[in-house]
Amino acid sequence: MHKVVILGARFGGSATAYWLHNLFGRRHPDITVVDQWTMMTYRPALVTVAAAHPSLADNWHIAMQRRCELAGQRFVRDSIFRIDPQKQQVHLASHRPLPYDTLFVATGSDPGWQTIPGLGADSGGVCEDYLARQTGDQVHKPFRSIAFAIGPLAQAPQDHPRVSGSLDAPAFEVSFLLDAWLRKQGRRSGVTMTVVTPAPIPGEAFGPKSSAFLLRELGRRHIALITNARYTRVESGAIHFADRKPLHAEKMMWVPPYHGSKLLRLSGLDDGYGWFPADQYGVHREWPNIYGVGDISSSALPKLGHIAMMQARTAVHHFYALQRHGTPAPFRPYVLHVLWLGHGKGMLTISNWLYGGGRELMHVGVSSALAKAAFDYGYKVFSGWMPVMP
Amino acid sequence: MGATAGIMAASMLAALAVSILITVLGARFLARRAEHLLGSSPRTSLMELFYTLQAWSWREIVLTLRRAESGKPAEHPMGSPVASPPLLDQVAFDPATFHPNASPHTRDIRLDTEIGPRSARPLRLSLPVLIAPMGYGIALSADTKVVLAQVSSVAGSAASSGEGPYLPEERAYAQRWILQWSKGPWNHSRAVIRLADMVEIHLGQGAEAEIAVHKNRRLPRRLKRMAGKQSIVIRAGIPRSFPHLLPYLRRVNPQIPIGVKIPASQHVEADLAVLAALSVDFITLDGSEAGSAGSPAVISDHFGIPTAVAVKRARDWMNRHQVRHISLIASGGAKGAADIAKLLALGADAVDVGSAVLFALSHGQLAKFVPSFPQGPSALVFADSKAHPHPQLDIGQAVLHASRWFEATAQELRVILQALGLDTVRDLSRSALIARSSQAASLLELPTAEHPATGRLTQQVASLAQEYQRLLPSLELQFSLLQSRRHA
Repeated sequence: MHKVVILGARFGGSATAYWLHNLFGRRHPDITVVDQWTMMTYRPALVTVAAAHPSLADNWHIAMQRRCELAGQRFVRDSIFRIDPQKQQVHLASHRPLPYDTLFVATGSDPGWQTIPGLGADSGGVCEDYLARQTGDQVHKPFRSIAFAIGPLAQAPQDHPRVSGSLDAPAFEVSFLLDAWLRKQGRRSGVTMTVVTPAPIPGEAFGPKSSAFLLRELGRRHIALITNARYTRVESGAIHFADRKPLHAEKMMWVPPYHGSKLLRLSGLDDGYGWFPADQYGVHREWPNIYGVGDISSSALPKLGHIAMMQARTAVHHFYALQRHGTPAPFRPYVLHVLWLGHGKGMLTISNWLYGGGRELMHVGVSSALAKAAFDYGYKVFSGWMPVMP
Repeated sequence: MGATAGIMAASMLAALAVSILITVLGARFLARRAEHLLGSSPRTSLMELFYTLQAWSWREIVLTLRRAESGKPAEHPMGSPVASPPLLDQVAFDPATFHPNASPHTRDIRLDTEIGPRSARPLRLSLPVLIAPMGYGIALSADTKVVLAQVSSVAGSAASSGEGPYLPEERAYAQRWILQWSKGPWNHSRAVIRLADMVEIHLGQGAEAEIAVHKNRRLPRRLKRMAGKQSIVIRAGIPRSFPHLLPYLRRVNPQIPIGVKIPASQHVEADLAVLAALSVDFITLDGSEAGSAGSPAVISDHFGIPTAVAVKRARDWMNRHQVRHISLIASGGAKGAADIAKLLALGADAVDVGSAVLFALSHGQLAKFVPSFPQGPSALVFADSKAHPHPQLDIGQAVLHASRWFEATAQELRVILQALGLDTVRDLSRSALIARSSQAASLLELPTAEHPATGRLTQQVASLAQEYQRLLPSLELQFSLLQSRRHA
């Protein structure tokens, strides 16, 4: 039987497992999912955790092992150490090497904490449950200033389109949600809030309408913005830049720099910069039986869950077409995102502006927030395998 | 109506009078019995308990009963009492005044440190505290290990595998992960070594010396599945392959610090000489106060030397032999910032903390045991089989409380450094310490609160030598003058 191995069980890996199950039905190949966690953390919901609700952190765990096993897929809990594309094996930390015929790599990008001197997970974060919980707990204590900093994205020089920040949406979301919460607490006037981004504009991947709205909203709420940030070092209470004065902030919350994948580097599968070099179907440029899905792929821009889900769909449909002699459809990306604004509102953006298209739909209101809440709860209830998948 | 009320009042008064009478007579009866008991032969009365507790501690009684129950060596968790009061409590800090100058800084006191400075990728810590190695399955539950890994990341510390098998989620959560190379049947693959940020070869520990450990009860199913058998054996002694182990680990992961953990012994200097010759990056000394989830009490309570003494002697030896590239980790008995600072001042570069972190992470969850579960609170964090149901650890709450403990400890370390007039934790030295007892003074060679002139002998000899050195030039001058006059 054809052996399919999926590395990673978060957005991209889970969607890959779904599409394999959906397309092949009961006659699916021998599928093995590998991840270090049996429970997936639904990361888009962590912004509410970081915005002063630490107890919510453990509400957003999804039993992915159970989901896969219910569908007849095998789940291996282990750390993925190396891929040997020649022998078609995946080396794990505490299991025998796992053979594959087709491999889907969806392990994401490693956080590049060490790429900025002085920066570490202990600086504050939002992208993992424990970091969001810690940030959410810290803001309950009195403080006078907080910085929401976005790390740079270390793209390969030839990559297109260009994006400066690793992922800016969570930083804006936490700043807005925290602003709303602090106002409710009557503490907002005593707190200086600053968003710091390496991008020239806020919401660089969304489009001009969304960027303009974000700029206005930041101003309206007295949240300062530093753009084009070039970090040199971080220390307790201060962020230092190459070309401007340091920013002093009692508390910080970082979206870490993204600098590719150690797994790919170690396996010799990266593009020289730590990213998966994928064609328009997600296939590796040298190894046709290896697909890259989600944040790990050089073409996954911005690094959003929606993009990872679309890439999983494209990659599995390509694999399915090869098996059934069909014609696959290439990856046609567009951004679909709802950004929490607090006060029960959200900013919905549907845009292909980043990829050279000219379309951008932007809507601000309660309905956008409701749509996001519905998606979040739907994802949790269906363990990521929703009746309608993007 | 009035008659009924009168009858009720009279009955109540009568009942009160009867109860007072019973109380008085009862108290008198009890007093007589107690008096009789005190005068009776202790061999035949409860009074033997009085004499027993004069000679025996509750600890020894419980261990004796445990031996009688099981027919096996008795065990207990949570460390051993070595001195009373503990040796570190017999040491105080010397506050900065005019000499040395008290630093005016209240901010920017640095706590960061690094282990294995010679290695290409030293282990950098935000504060000189490591979470003590406690293995999955043989000591802690998987949930507790996950908590410790998360806490290590938010606190800027490091998590250690301990002697247990590899837990992928622990590695995933810990930003800095120490592989403890145990003599157990796991964690020896090249992949696991490559995933580590530091490797500590476990040759022995304070609570177990270097004996073999057999475990077949209360093992979680996942551990048995990982080990592929129903019982676990961690071998005794120093492995035959030990001389080749260090070069092998360096070949597999050449960038990280590699060191050794040994129990603190009376011959610690000889051990250090061997390890220094092997060019290790760090040495962990596990003192006799150190605990484990369950070690034979005859070992944990009766072997080894205190952590503070071991650290002091080790640092002296390293200074004498100009060994500056090996980091020293103190393990065993540190309960909080004061103990950590004292061990750092005695010569440690970092301190392992185990029980204190377990207490901190259990905070707010112990009430779950009352009244339904008969186990002790440690059941919340220790590994167990499903046959012994107990309350589940709330991971989120545990991480928050343990992180706050780290935060408080960091603040307390800064307060101590501020009071000592120091800017960085690396400046802590023995000159900051005072002995509060003659035992601490002699074991740690610290000055006591007495006048310095009546301090330890070596100090007196040193000051005498200094005086002679000062005197020597003038004596030489006088001698030369006398010589010149004689010649003249």
